[in-house]
Amino acid sequence: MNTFLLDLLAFGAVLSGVLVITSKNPVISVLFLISVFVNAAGYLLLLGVGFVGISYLIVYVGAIAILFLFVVMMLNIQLTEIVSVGREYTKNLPLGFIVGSLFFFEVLSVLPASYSDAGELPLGLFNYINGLFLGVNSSFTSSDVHMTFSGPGADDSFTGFLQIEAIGQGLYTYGSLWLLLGSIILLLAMLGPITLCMRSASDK
Amino acid sequence: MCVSMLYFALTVMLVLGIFSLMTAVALPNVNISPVLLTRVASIVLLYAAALSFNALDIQAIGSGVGIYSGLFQVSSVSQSIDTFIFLVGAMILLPWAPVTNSVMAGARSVFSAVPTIAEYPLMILFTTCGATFLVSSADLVSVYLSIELQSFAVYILATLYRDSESATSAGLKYFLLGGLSSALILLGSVLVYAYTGLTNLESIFTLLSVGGVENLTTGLGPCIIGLTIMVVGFLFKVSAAPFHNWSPDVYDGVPTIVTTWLAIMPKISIFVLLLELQSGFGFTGASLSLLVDGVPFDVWKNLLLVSSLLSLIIGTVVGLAQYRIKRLFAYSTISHVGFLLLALAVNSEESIESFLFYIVQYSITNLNAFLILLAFGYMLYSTVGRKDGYGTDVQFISDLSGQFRANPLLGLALTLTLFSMAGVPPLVGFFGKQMVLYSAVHSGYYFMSLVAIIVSVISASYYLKIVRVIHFDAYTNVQDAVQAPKMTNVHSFAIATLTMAITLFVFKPSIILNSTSLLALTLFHY
Repeated sequence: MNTFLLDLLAFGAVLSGVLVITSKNPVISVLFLISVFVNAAGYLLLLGVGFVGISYLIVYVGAIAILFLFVVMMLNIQLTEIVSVGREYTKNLPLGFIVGSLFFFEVLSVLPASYSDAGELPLGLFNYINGLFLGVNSSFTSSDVHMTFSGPGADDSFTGFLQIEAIGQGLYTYGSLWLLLGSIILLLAMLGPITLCMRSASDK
Repeated sequence: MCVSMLYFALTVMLVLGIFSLMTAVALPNVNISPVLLTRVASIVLLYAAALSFNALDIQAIGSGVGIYSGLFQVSSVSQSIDTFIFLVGAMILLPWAPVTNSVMAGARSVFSAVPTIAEYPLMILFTTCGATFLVSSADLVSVYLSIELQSFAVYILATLYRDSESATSAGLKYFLLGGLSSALILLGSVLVYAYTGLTNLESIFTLLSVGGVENLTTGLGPCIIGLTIMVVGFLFKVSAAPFHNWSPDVYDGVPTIVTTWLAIMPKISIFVLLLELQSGFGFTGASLSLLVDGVPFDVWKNLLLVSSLLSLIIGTVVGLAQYRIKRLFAYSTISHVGFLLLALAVNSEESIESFLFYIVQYSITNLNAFLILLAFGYMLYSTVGRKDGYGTDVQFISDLSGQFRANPLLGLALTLTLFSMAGVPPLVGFFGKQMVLYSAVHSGYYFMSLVAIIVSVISASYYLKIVRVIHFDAYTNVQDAVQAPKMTNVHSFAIATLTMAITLFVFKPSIILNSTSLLALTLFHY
């Protein structure tokens, strides 16, 4: 049952991803983008990676995609231009197909192949197709997700951590400098648009 | 412990510099001139150089000290390259037109062709911060974060002149292709992590050194592919040959004062990171080999060698057809990158020494070339401005025609610099090429050495073309007779010092040569 849901969500994500770039109206396209994120979040939640899944919902759906939606609605783009551009890039479809399938072949042949026990044809459809392509009987399990690696310290061994606690513990003790670096990058990300867009009084 | 404290002081210096500049730029009613802010940033970088030089204690550092729970590692190489980066960065901040000079106060309006931007030094500090983190990072996540910090600031720097159409388009191109290479680096890191479960570079090296080629191929093949993809991302960022397409367009599109930074600084730190990866793989017995049809194939070394060969050839041959001077410099950069990659791939003690020396001499020479180019631009156009809306930048080689007659000293300095790039004997560039070629021949890379010698002869012809234009072409007087300083004293002082350093290196080579050989020794024998 679980794998079937996973496949369904993966399929939904890929389908909405295709619809994002093929739909002619940009507003519809952003709505499909939201659907991609929701599907991906559901996929992650089912896999057991709860925190990342929830933050997908909060960050991407809640903030970024809605922002996109507003911006696209405000821009008021003429549909005819987009349609003509769309006609131009269908010429590149064969090239895109070749590059895409090469990429998939690479990734599928490279990724860890420890897909031991999963369902047969109706459940693990993608795994079955992978198996056809690669000539190996591959299928994968979604049961074990190791949430955290507990060090030998005493404070870790008393309690089992929740996911968020595990991430927090790792980030604030072990990787505190990453936090600092990330904050400098965010500061830069805030300064950059101001620098590029603000006109000083003398410029006018 | 002590090293870690000193390193922390360095970071704090840079971040404090960022904060104070940010406040100074944002203050509404205080009219601090942008040139003053660049000077302040330059002094901040000089202090940072002193701090990092202070932390360079070879006895205490040994083979490297892990700091911040092993996410970063301070080694002798990283400390000295930090110092070098800060010094070169401080010099790049010098060449601004004298907008604030009291002599020019009355003539300020005619200087409107020289845009000075208050945010420029701020972005410089950000990218330097990223560069110094990158040089000493010892973890895949640290590498990615610092490379993002470095390049993100450089993208903004490239687009800083937002009124210029060419700068905006070049900046956008740089941003998109830089994003692509960052994505490659991320993909590579993910593959490495998916297969080994490790992000610490030291641990990855150790894991790769266990077992022979067979084990690597069957068990860790994808990890090696991941590392290869990562290195492709890095080569993208240093514009090595098959991945060089963006660099001529970007260098040519952005104003020269930004090109100076783009062409020199991001390369140094990424090359040092490649050096650290190389020394990590070099000591794992198997290196990065895969079995292809039963024959071991060293992926890493071949990648570097192929990229080096293509860089040498493309940088030279395509450079012959250029008539825009910054595109020409971009192709010359690509061919120098070929030399650097060759020295890196050989990976013997003397080749690493020549690699470090080449980085130092190439950065100095290139910096001098760009400083002189800027000076020529101010001389020619700062009062009259260009007709075609490129500010005060020298755009075409023909812009410089006959300039030896108008500015003999500048012309002479540019000639010396170009001779050094071409590798004419008494100048510093010759010794760089000679050391690389010597180490390559010594390790048996005859074909690559032959190619390198031939292309460096060919490349001499395009440097000589510029020299011919400066010295022997007809001189057309475009400048008017304003008797005012057109460039600052500190700018001409920097040009003089660098030209002296390039020319007189042969009399006192021990300072740079001893340091580079000492660094190579610490890499191999500690």
